[in-house]
Amino acid sequence: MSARPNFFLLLELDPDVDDWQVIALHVQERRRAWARDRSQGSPKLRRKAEIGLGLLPEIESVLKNPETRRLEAKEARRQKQQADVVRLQELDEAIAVLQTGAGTCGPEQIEKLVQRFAPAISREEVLRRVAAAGLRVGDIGKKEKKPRASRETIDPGQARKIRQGLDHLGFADLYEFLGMKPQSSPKALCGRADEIYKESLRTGRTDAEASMRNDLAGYCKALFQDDGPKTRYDNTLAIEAMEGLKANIELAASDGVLSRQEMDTLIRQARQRGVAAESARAFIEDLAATRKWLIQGNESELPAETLKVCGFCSALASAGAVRCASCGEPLEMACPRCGASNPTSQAACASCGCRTGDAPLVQGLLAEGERLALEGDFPRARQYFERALLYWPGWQKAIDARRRAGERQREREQALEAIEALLTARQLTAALTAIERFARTHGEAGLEGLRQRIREGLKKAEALFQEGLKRRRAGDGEGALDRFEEALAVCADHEPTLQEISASPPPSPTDLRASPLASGFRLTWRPPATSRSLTYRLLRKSGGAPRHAEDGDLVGEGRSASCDDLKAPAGVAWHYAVFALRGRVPCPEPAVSGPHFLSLDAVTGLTARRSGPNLALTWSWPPGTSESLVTWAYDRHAEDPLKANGGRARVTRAEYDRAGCWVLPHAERRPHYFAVLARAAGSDLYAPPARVVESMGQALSVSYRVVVKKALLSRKVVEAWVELTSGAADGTEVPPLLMVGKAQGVPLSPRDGESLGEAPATRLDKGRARLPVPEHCWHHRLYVKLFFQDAAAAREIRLLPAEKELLLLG
Amino acid sequence: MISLLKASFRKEICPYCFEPFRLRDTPFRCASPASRCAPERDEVRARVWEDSAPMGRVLPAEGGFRREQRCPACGQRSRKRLCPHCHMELPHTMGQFRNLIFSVIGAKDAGKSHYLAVLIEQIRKHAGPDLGMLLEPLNDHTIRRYRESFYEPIFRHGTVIRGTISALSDRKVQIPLVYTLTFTGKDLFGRRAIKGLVTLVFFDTAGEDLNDQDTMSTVNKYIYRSDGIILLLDPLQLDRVRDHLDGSVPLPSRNTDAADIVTRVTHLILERRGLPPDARISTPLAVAFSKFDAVEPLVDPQFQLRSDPDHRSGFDEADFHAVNAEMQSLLAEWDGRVLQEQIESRFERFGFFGLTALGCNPHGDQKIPRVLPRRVEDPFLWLLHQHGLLPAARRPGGR
Repeated sequence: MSARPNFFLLLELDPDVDDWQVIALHVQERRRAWARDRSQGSPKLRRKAEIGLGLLPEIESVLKNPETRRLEAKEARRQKQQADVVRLQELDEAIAVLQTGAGTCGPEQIEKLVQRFAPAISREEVLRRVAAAGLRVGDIGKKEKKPRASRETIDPGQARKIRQGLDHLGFADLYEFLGMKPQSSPKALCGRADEIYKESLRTGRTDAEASMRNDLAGYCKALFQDDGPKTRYDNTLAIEAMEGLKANIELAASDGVLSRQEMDTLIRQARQRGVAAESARAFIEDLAATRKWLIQGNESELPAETLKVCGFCSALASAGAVRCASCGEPLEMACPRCGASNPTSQAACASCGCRTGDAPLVQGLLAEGERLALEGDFPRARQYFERALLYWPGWQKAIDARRRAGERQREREQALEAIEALLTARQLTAALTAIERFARTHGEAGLEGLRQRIREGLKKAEALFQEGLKRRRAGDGEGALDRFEEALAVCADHEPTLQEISASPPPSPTDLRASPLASGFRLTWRPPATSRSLTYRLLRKSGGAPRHAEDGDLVGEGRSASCDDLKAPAGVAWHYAVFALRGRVPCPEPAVSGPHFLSLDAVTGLTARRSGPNLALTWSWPPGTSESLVTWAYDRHAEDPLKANGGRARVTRAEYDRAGCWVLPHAERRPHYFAVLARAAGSDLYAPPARVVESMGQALSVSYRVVVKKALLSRKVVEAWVELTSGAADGTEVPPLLMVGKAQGVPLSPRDGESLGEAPATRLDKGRARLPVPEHCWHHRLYVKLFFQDAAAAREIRLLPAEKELLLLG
Repeated sequence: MISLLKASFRKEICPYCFEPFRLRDTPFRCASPASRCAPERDEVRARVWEDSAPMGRVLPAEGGFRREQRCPACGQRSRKRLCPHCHMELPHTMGQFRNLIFSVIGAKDAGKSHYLAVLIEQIRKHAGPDLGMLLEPLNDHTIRRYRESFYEPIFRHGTVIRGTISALSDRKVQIPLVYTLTFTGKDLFGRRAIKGLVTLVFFDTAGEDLNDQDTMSTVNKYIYRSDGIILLLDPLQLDRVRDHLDGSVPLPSRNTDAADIVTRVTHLILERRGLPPDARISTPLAVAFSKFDAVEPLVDPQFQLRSDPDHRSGFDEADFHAVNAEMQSLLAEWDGRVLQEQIESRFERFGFFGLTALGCNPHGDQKIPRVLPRRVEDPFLWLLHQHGLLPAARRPGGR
């Protein structure tokens, strides 16, 4: 093996590759490369290529066999290790030469070493060995400083105009003008500029200040349309700030040297002016290079460069600080999208790019929204949450706040509706109590108007009440009652008035009568003989007449002397009572009438429909019923449907209306004889049953066709009949039939076409029967069809006509 | 194997693009996971189906019949056979079993999507088990599309299906639902056995795609390749019916006349199949009145459609004849004489049916309180019967 080169090394193939497919591909590539080198390469390459090409058969045979391939790979690894050891020894020797110098080495020397030993020894390994040899490695590995690219700034003319505007209005920069932070997103900045512009348009001011503000808003919209122009503006601002510091820099470098401490102080001052540390250093270094000042110390980070900036108030904080000492806000925050921690002064999350720089704005919007929600101004609160979500979509805190605000708004609206209902019912005292309770729970927002209305009402009622009292004391009883009634008309629950008026209840109505309607009763009564207008309250009750004004179901309340009760459940004995009311004070004795029965009608239009394995029943509900009973039997209609042997189901009106029918799921495959009975509410009273049969495809079927017998030669019809066939048992009787004929097509109903005759109940003999066709029809080309005289029979027996052509007569 | 070899020379129809091809010309798609063999954009698929997602690489046809092909990149064998025209994955049963294309056509709002949704459910759950047939979706696309576009709206959410998007605006609408229908029975020893299998392709057409001859010939190629056509007629579009109902039922807006659709379909089939103008089309055509529940009050209580067919032992032919004759008369009664005449003179095999897919009229509130279909399977079973896949039932004639 030692007499020839190692094949892995010769092929420049990794010994760890053990897949012949891959190796074969590689061999193929090498073959091509060697072939090229043999014809076009240098003499050295040509020699190498010739050797390689000559060895190719052997290479393939050795590397194809897994056993020899493994041995070859092992040998390749050994030879590689050996070569590496030699190379490392050479490197150590070279480093020893460098040590003999001043104990330092420059980047050029290191670069030479790296180039000399590549690729066998990596750059990292070279640097590690140089350092281990005690050589000063301060400059080692550092790339040569490249000339700094000049930073883009905005047009100087534009910058000058902006500066003039800002100076005129007294703002330091456009961010301060907008009331936003420099790390805010362009979207937020543009949005704010838009607001300022719209506000200016709304106010319609045209003075110098307003036009300056409009100009600045316009500049903002142009400069903050996206990140590019914004960066240019930020660079302009940094240069402006550093220009302001230039005097201090020149002072510090008056001796021609900028010490590390001076640099630190200058950078700190720059950062306090909102300039980034690297921008400040770059400016000072560029200035030093121009003025040929010496900057002392190495380029390691200065303490001022490690300071943190608060994203909320822009104050500087020490490197280890967690919260801003100036405003107390955290210096780092979790990204609302990915949760990564980011400095609050940073414009966007380093991990996902989310605009974390909008935190002061967005958190401000959230806080303002929550404040508004606490005050009960939910629509505005929701607007704030929506705005926050516009900047940080999917921010859970804002979503939760919006949801909570929505829920509380709904609760508030319900509570307000209840108060409005009390106001509509003129129960002002109750409404006032409710409004106080409401204010404690939902805040004061929007309540002032309601309060005012209630207070005015109560004041008016109190005045009328006092006027009534005065009249009573003066002996004017009727006048006093008039005032009390007026007071109750203003405030129905004015307690002092109610107490006064209860001493003189209204007279009772008389002669209450109930006359039946199609689905209920009309109640009429005679009003009491009094000059005043009264309210009447009509009540309904089963089992006895209502005894007081709250005893029973309220049918209606009003000033009319009649009322219709259309919702009285059928089949129940109802007693009615009508009370006259003065304010809320009822007459001592009502007018009563009863008992009255609303008859219970049977359901109508009952139909059964099969749908797959299910059976659907539909019917029309009689008035006043809300429940029905469905029963079924399998052999025939049960005499007493309540005792049907198949099954029963209680169907409520609500359940029926929801589905539009009642469904018997997975019905058995045999005829079902259904009965549906409307049931009186709350009793065991049933209406007469409605019945229907569903054969479930198991009906007796009788097929028929028209048979025409013609004379052999003349082809005249000599006989014609309808032949019935069925697989039913002997003696089965087919109910009376109608024979109908139609020229254009098969008749669709017993009335569709010409009636050819009627057949009485027909007995099937050996499953067959004949119905003769009247002779006068024999020569007409008619399609004949049979119908049952009683359509109900079709539910139990199916008459199956043959193909169209076999129904033709003549 | 013999059937496969025969199939390699016979022309098959792609159930997706409806173009004919030979099995020996079909490429394959590498079935390796993406980690093993890098997926790539399929240009044909992107062009035909607007699907540019990276997928397994295409292994070109090498001529001659093959059951599988090896991917040169990863070495994995693949049996994913592709249509040479559209690069959709072909059913694995292709070439071994019959491939039947049934199309459901009709004017806009005739109820095609609802019909298809309920039909598939009825066959799977009721008619299928009764007749020893098992209907199974063939691929994930069919499972997903049926679930999302058909089943969920009707059976889960109780709402109507939104109008089908025109195939001109969304090419993916042109991907049909592909099912296998397995016929089971008992062998000589009384053991359960599979007696046959057929691949069924259902295509739900957007009504507006039938409004224009050119559109039809572009996106509705399936019609002239169909082995059976179900033409749904909305009776609520007929003037006579609208007059009779007189506002008792919410009526849909007016749409294309069914006779015009039949004219276009006839022209398309004659033209694309190269038939002479006086030829009669052999494709069975089932003409079905949909939404029959809405017009039920207009027909006699002894109307045959109100009875139930008995398909348990096969296709109830006696019931079909009774209903067919009556529905023809009804069509004539409702001013549909022209349509009837057209069908009788242009099609060799046709049948008239009546059905309701939902059992209720949801035109007003778009809600379906309960699905109560009736006779939806009749046209489908008739088509199977016409193809000799379902024998006629023996009616015992008694209980």
